Amino acid sequence: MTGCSWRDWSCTVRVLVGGDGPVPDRVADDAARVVRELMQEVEAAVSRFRGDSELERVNDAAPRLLTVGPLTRALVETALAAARRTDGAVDPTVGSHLVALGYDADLDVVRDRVAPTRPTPRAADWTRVVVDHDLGRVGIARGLRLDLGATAKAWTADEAARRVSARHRRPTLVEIGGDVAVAGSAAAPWRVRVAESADAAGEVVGLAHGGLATSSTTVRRWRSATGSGSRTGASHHVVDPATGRPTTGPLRTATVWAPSAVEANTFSTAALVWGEAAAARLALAGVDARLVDRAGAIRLVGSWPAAGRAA
Amino acid sequence: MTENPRRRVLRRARHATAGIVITAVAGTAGLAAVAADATGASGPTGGPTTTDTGSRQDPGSRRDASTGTGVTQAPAGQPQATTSAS
Repeated sequence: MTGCSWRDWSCTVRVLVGGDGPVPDRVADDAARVVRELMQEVEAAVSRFRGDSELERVNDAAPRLLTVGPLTRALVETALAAARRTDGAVDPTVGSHLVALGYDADLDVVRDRVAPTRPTPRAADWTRVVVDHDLGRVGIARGLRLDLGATAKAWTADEAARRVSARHRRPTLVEIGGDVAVAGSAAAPWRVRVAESADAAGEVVGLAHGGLATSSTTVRRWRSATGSGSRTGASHHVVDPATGRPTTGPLRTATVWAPSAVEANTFSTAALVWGEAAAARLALAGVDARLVDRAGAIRLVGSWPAAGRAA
Repeated sequence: MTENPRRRVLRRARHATAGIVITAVAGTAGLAAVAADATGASGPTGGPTTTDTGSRQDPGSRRDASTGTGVTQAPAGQPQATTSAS
């Protein structure tokens, strides 16, 4: 097994290639190249922080429909599928709310300032997004902005793992900022540490297939003049579409296993929005989860292995 | 005793009619059975029907019965990757 890691999208990116026998350096190098190139394509297509991305062009053109490439269409469709599966708890039209809360640039930039007050945008509504397959266009209602943060990173991890594994016929793991996807048949499950933050203790689980994702209100935070609770309160990136505000429910972190990283991140994000109803709804969705409440108590859902208990 | 020709005609007509009815009933039953087999429908005792009640299971929520859950107890060794908020 071999691999490499680097920093991009304000997070750690890791690619591991396994399989029988030693992995040649050229395979490891090629795997990293495949992941990097895909990330560049995704960023050019749907980055909210690049004015020249297709997503920002669509946002700025609302309510007109704009012609976009197949990657952008696929990523928007993925985000809409997440909204459907969660009854709108994961809504890609919260982009204008994130901007209003000050999250309008790379997180490293946002953290170094107090975000200014901005007008409250119209309510999120994922049903006001149109994907015109016949003409290859995407559009959104006026006043809304798309943000694919809950699905695009996980989609990239899924797709990158699939591409590398298919290209080299080896089991592959791709981790992008906590979204972990595996592809190919490994002799043993991958060992993945599950923690609330990079420096937290957590526990280690085996990942045989599918994906793992963690969402938390504790890490991606910044100071905002419109933050929850006070005039200059702290904001975080998990927005409840029903209120347009950062979630304030009883859960602070959710880690979910699902058949893909996209589904895992969809449900880990939804769990924070669902709050007290999360365990039941996750069980109904057929995924496994590890939930951490505000006091640090851990609750396991589904077939999540009962091993470590440290948050 | 010889049968009255008129009675004979009537009797044969009744037999023919009964035969047609029996054949029609049997044919209808056969067609119904073929149709039921083709559509997967079943009788009133239960089983699958073709009626769409709008309660299809979300395909994304089904587990792969051959592989089950993908998260397990960790094998021995150091972690190879991390899922955490970033």
